[in-house]
Amino acid sequence: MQIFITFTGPLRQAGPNAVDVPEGTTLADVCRRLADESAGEVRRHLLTVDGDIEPSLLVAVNGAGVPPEERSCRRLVDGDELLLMPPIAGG
Amino acid sequence: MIADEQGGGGLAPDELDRYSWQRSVAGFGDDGQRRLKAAAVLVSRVGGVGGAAATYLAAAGVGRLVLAHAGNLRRNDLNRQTLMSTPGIGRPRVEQAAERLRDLNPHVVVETVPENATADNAARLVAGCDLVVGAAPLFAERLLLNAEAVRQGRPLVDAAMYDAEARLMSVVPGGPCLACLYPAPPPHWRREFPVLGAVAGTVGALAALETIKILTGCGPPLAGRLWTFDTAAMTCRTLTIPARRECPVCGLACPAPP
Ligand SMILES: [Zn+2]
Repeated sequence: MQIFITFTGPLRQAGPNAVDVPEGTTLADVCRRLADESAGEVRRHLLTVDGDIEPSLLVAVNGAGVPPEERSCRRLVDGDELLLMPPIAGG
Repeated sequence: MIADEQGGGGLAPDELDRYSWQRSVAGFGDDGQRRLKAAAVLVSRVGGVGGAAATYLAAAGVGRLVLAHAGNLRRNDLNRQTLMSTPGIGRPRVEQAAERLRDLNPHVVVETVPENATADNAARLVAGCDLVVGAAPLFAERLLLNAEAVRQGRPLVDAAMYDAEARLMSVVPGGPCLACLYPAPPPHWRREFPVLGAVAGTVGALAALETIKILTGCGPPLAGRLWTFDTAAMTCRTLTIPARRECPVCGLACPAPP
């Protein structure tokens, strides 16, 4: 199935815009895969040094925020739009 | 008293004239004007974002503005900090901001605190106001004000930007808070960030609008929603933010699951 991805903030120019993943893939699985396939800058925004999903990364699926405690169990479905937003605080 | 006879209710004739173009805004009116005048707003930092917010809050007629910002103006602040001036380089930012706002609207009481939000002053800063605008460039300051706003039951409008992106959300009592989004100060954020003044000013002006909505009821604020604007692509999104019972700041205030 295909998942569409938008990166924002410090990762605005990162990619890919879409990934093909097997049925049953979770949100955390996609974040780990993107981190594994990316350079250091993407990886450090997505994962902690321990390899967990960075808790201050904002994640939304189809416009609804998904809190950290639900990311490992949240299964995606074909066509889901994933928004990955590293924290920003410019004032 | 003359104002009362004219339907102004505590607004002097020159205030009724000053605000005449906004008193006709649907849902705002003289009631909204009176509510703004009765309100006190804390603006945490008056840089690119907070300075724009403070400008539009002063112009709209908020009764009392408390500006909190430490330090003196640097030349490289001037691409975005439009309350400042070139002759003011080396002078306290907060004093320059206050002078400009008093010139803009002498009906607004402008108070200055030459400090950034800290664990020592956050409770006092929040206690003195009805609403907090968070526009500091550090998560530690934003999260301190968020915790105090939630604890004291005051609304918080948090406005942030980075490069081409602007983000805005409002924290209202009983709803999700900034710590629901950012459980701890994020490890990779740096004090210096890419900024065009127009992007900072855009989200600052919208923070003023959020504040006016909350104070007057003239429109639904972004409670439980995060607004994000990609100014490069000119696309915006409004995301729903669930309240988290696990949130260490607001969690106990969230309703229990059914
Ligand atoms: Zn919270």
